[in-house]
Parts: sequence; C-alpha cells; structure tokens
Amino acid sequence: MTNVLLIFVATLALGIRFNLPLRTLPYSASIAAVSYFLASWLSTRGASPPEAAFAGAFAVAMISEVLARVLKVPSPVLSIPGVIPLVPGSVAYRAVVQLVKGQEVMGMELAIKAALTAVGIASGLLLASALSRQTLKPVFQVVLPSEHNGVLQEED
Amino acid sequence: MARWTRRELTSGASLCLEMASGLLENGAETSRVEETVRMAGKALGMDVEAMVHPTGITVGFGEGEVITRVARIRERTINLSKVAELNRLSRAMHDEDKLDIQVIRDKIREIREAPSPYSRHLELAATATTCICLTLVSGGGSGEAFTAMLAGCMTSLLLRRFSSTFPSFLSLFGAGFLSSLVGIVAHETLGLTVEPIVVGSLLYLMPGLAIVSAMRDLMAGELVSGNARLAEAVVVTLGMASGVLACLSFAVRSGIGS
Repeated sequence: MTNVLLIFVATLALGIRFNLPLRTLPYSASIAAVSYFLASWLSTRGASPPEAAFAGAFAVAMISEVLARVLKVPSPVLSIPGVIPLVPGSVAYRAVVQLVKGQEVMGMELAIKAALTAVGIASGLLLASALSRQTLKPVFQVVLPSEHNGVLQEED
Repeated sequence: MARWTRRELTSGASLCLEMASGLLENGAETSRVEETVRMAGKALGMDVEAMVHPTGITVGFGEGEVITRVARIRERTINLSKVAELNRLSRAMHDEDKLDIQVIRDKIREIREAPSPYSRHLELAATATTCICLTLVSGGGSGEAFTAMLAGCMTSLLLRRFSSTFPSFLSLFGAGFLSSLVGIVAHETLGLTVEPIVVGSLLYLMPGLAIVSAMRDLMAGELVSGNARLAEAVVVTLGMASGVLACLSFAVRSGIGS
C-alpha cells in the first residue's frame, strides 16, 4: 500500500517533468497509482510479470481514454506518467549485471524476461487505443450527448 | 462559406501550418496533428490535406489554385500542456461562427512562445522526488533513496547541459554511466545496494511519451510515424543501457561493485 502512495507521488512529480498541465496532474497520478495497484495485486495472485504489465498498461490507457473525453484533454496528457512505473527496470538492470559478469545464459534469460514485460506494456497500450478508436465512439455519443461528432474525433 | 481570396488562403494555410508545427514540436502524436489540421481547415471552410511525419509537415490547400506549405521540425521537446492548449484552441475554432484568422494566429504564437509552466528549480525538485519514490518502490532503503536523488539530479543537470550540443544517444549514455558510477561509489564507500540506486535514478528518463504515441500512431494506421517513434524509444533505452553496461564492466574488471 505504501508503494501505491509512493507511485502516486512519483508520477505527480514526473508530470511536472513532462510539463503536463497543472489541472490534470492529480488525475494522471491517480491513474498511475490505480494501475500500479492493479498490476501488483495481479502478481500477488500469481500473474507473471508480462501479464501484470499488460493489465497495468491496459488500465492506464483505457482509463486515460475515458477520462480524456470527460476532461477534454488529449489522452497522452493523462497516460504518459502511468507507463513509467510499469517499466521492468530492476530485471533489465540484473540482466546487464549478469552479462557483464560473463554469465550469458542467466543474462539472456533476464533480458528476455524484461523484453517480454516491455511487450506486455506495448500490447496493453495497443489494445486500449485500438478499442478506443472505434468501439468507444458510440458509447460516448450516448454518455456525453452534448458532444458533436467532429469534436469527438479530434479528442481521441 | 464565401470564396477565399488568395491572400486569405495564404494566411489560412499559415495558420494551419503554425498550429501543426506547434503541436508536433511539443510532442503530439502525428495522427492528432493531421486530424487537427484537417479540422482547422474545415472550420475555415477550406479543403486541406496534411501529411505529417515526426520530423516534418506538408500541408496542401484549396481547390483549383492550390497552395502547398512545408515545415521541417528540427527540435522537439515534451510540453504536453501546450498540446492541450492548442487542442482547446482548435476546438474553439469550431464553435465560433466568424473566424478572424489573424487573431487565431496571434493566439497560436502566444501559446508557442509561452515559457514552460514550471520553473527549472521546480523541475529539478520534481526529478529528485521521482527518484526517491521510485528507488523506494524498487526495494531501496533511505540511504539508497538519498543517493539516487543525488544521481538523478546530476543526470538531469548533465542532460540539460549537453542535450542541445550532443546527440541524445550520447548524453543518455553519459546519464547511464554517471548514475551507475554514483551507485558503485556509494556501494564502495557506504555499503549501499547498487541496483535500486541505478534503477530509481534512471527510470524517470524512460521514453514514456515515445512509447505511448508510437502505439497510438500504429493503431491509427500511421505506420511510418509509429515505427519512427518506436525507434526513438529503442534508441533512448539502448543509450541508457549501454552507459550502465560500460560503467559496470569497468567496475567488474577492476574488481569492485556488486
């Protein structure tokens, strides 16, 4: 639970580094914290790191797409800080250490693990943006009837 | 809408091009830029076709007498609040009945030239906070967190100093090298663990924006831009990784570090 809080603070600060607008900073940090919580909860329930990263990245992108239409901001403004905590930094570092020490087999194993987690993040983002492009449009026309079609297209 | 004179057409073309350049140089995805140019043209009542790459824009205007404008984007930064503001401006263009092209162009220039919303000191403080939190999350104690904060501030200053003069790969290599050097020195003198220090002080440099916009562009059917952004993300990551690799291999050769 402390980790989730730390992630909230970390992504709040990351948002400042990425020059995000002040009014959306709390939203992007909350999105990051919620998806990090989801990913770590899944891995305590036995999900592998790539699966957890997939779920986390999907949650980041999907919540951002939905919230972006409500807040009328581009969705990357909300989703970018949330991706960073999911990056498998520790595994990648251990892979580098093993490779340097001459333990190639161990190193490659860890490198593949890190790469798979990265693929998990990428496919989570892909799935969410693919879904949001067409599938969400009719939903939003019902939920937010004041939007007209042209504007909605531009906001995605 | 009434026929446009050539003068108006030219200035409308400049408007679209300025808006597109503003979006692209502050880190918007190419699909968003193309969409915005098309919508801006629609709001002006002109026929517009735009072709946007991560490093350049081509906009074609009008029927019969066609105007084509090209802009090359050389420097790109990450400033998403400007993207959000330009987006809001283009949306506002739709809701207005009568558009004054000059007024909108002035607004675009104002947004593009505005300083970043956060001061440099605040940015540095934010970097320090990020490094502390991410180090604690990746299993470090308070000593590791403090060292990572120092390393993060150092890499941030290094990048700020050198990113305009050196290619980004080289400055990221330097950042990776520096932060692992700090980690190893802290290990040797204070007995701290190297891993959380390096991970915590480098994670904030991960190309989050490049990854997100690569995926969004790919799903929008922008294959060229999507792949270009993906390559950007890979280059940034490889730069940091090779810096860490270089420093660690020195350390292992000379028998220090973990």
